[in-house]
Amino acid sequence: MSDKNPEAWRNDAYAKVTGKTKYTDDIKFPNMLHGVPVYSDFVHAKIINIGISAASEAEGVVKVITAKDVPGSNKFGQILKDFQIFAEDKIYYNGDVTAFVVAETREHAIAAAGLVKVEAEELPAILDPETAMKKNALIIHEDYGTNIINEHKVRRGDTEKGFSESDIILEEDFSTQYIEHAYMEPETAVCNPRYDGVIEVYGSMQHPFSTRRFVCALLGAKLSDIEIVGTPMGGGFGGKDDTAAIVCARTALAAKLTGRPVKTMYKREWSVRESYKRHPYKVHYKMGLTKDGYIKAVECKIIADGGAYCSVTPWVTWRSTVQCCGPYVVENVHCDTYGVYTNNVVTGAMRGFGSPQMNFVIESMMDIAAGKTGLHPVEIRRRNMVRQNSITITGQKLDNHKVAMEEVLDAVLKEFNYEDKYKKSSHGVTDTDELYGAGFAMSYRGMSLGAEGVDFCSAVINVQADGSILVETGIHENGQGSESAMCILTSEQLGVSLDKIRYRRPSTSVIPDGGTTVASRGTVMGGSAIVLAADKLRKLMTPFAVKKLGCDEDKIIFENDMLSDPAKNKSVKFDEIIKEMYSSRTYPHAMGIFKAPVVTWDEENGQGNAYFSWTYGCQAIELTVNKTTGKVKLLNAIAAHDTGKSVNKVMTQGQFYGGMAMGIGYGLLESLNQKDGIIKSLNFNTYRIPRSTDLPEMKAVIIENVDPNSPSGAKGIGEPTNELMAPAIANAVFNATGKRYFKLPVKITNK
Amino acid sequence: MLLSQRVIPIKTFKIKYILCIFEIVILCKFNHKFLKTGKGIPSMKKTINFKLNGKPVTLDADGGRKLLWVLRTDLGLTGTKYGCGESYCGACTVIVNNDAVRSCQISVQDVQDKDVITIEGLIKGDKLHPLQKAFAEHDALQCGYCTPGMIMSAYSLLKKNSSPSVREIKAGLEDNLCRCGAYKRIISAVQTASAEMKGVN
Ligand code: FES
Ligand code: FES
Repeated sequence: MSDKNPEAWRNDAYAKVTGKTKYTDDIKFPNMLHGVPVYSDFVHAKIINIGISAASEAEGVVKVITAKDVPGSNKFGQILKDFQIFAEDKIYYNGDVTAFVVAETREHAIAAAGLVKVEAEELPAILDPETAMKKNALIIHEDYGTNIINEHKVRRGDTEKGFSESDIILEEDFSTQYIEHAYMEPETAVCNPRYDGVIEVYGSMQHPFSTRRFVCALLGAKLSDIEIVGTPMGGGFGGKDDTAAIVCARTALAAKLTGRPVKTMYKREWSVRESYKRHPYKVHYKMGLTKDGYIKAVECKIIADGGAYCSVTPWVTWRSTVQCCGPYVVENVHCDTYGVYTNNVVTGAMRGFGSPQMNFVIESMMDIAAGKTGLHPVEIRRRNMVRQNSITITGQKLDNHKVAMEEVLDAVLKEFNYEDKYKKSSHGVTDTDELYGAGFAMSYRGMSLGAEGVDFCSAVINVQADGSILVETGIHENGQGSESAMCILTSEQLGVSLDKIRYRRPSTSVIPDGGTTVASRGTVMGGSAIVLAADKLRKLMTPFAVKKLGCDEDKIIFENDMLSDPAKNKSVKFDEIIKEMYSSRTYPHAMGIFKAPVVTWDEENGQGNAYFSWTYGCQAIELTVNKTTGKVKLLNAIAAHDTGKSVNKVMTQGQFYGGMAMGIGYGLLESLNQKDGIIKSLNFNTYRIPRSTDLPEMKAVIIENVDPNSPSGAKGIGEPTNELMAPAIANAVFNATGKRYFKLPVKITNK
Repeated sequence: MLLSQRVIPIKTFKIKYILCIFEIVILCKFNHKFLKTGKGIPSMKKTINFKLNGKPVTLDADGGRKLLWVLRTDLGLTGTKYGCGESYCGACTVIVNNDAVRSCQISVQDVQDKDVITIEGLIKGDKLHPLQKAFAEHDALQCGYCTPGMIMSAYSLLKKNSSPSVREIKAGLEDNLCRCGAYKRIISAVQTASAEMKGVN
């Protein structure tokens, strides 16, 4: 687009509005085959035989692949290697793939898939995590020895003492539901065996490097044998990790075995059946407070249904554990968290990553506590919230960044006129048909991976002989606009116009492994690597400008496509310096590597500096509830978040609106119908996601406290925006109806 | 064929649900037949003529094939997207004789002699359609996967009502899903485009 004002610029807008963007299913190769997964009717069973002869002989079928054809390891995973890519000895859940039919057309493959016969001996299905945790429960993964995938804890102070010093003790049970990511583009992969023996993989997956590990494991290949090419993706939201990588892995195996390009495109129903979901939680929460509303102690037990495979359950539940008291200072904490195997659908990463569940619990508890102490919900939070230099429940001192908890809260109160709205709330009493209520919720969130993983990332800025620029990072564009953010940062850092810059979509064979694009870390990590690369590049270029302009090194500034010394009023074109560099055999090429500051964690006591920085958010909503029908109508909503440096405000606000919309789905609309381990809501008619008519008017308030802990100064924002609407809605519904809901989604009962 | 005659989009959730059960039953029957014989796909090649983005097209195709797959696979027009295959999401929306139609539901034989417009047909030379321009300017997208369908639905909405209110836009796009949650800006973009299009007329 000619309009390259960073305020409303994205490098992919033109292609997206014209339908030119090539998503994975839009790519094809000559002579391409089509792969289709085969499921079984079982939920938990011992496999006796997988009969493929009829399918193999069906018209158009080239090969039917099962576990027997796997040259590498059939089981893989990011943490535990328990995820079977083809069902082998057992069926662990209803989404397990027993065989993979490869045929000349997709229609042929689908037709033949019905001919695969799975014989198995049914085992009792363990569907309730609490049952799974019992001592004598049937062990789902026998070699693991227990159904408990992982435990985390926080031990701080002395909760017994804390409760004895409390005037009020509250104890409640909460539960949350599965959430389907429902990215509009289902999982898709295209794999092309190249003449040099490398298999190229194009896929709808959010982590090229993690995908490569899955593909290599299944194929028994070296990392350099497989090239994952970043491909535009129709939404991910954390959901295109393991299961999307596995779709790529099966397709790559088919390409290897047939020697031909293969495409797999999932139907919506397969996607919902097989892909992992957000964990449903059961939380028992006990809180002790003084009559002045100061929290003295918290005890909680968190149980997450991990489903049939581990996936990233230990990491998701770790975040829940670290943030189990919300943004409040609590001196006595005892928290036990369990991730548990069941035969339900697999659960894993989803936007929020363990925080949406806990925020619903904590922010409901805070409003309950306000009611019990007679304090205003705002006041009780002010009394307990983290402030500059506060110590978190894991013993981390918040002194290396601006603690903006009160700032975001005040922003919401003011911009939303919250007090007036809150006062108007019906509390169950109204003369009209509509009960009215306003509610809010707030949180803090540790940035990036924290102690979940190794956190570093690189970026390359490669200036061409004519002064145009190629940028790449190890961060994948998931639709969030990270490519545009990287371009804008480069343009700012080098003082060059945006139309000079092109983002080079990363391939795993070119750029070093930048880790996964998760945990809202794209701009923080990739952006910081860009800033560091730009810094190196400026240092390379400066001597040439010094020579040209005859001024001091430290006087040179990069601005308006020029290198200048404003004091001497001298300048030289950026392009000219580049030309100069090439003719003196110097490449204007630089790589920046950003390593996240080190974090610490002591698993024994659940103490440590869990995250290198924190972000703060607050959201509020007003709504009405119809007295007779129970129908909820959302009126206005607001979100205020500390975004760190916002690279592109328009895109940042877009993240706010998208996160709020998804949060509304979580709070009010979405629930997955799974009966006896079989998902019934397989498409959008029965799995209801937010529509244009469901949403309130929304306002986004960006609070920009540049983060001193990373060169980009940015803080991730994709997830924080999605973790607060559900509790805000639950609190608003309470203020409207006088009734407290402990279960998500909030379903109004008997008015 | 029964399925292809469905009027799309269907307005209420309930009706949709009932129809869908109905449809599943029919589909199951078909599937069952394929599964039993394993003989694959019945094919009835037919010559079909229609206008696509202003140009005449003649195809020799199985008339029962869904327009979505004919566009994407046979004709290489990949702007129209698959999202659900069952009329629920709107990603596959195209215009047939000025109506927004779910191309995953309509058979190619049903567009015989009709006028089909896809997202690829909106741009004139290098001039974006006002809706495309407004979607880009308002940043009314993130992943962009719903965008073609969204723009085509808005296109038909504006054909029928040149200055829709916010409420009418929301209602008109109700059956087009956007998981990235870009609705707020999509609505503004449609307003902007409507103003611009009126200016031109
Ligand atoms: S793909 Fe046609 S409506 Fe979803
Ligand atoms: S922009 Fe991603 S689904 Fe609408």
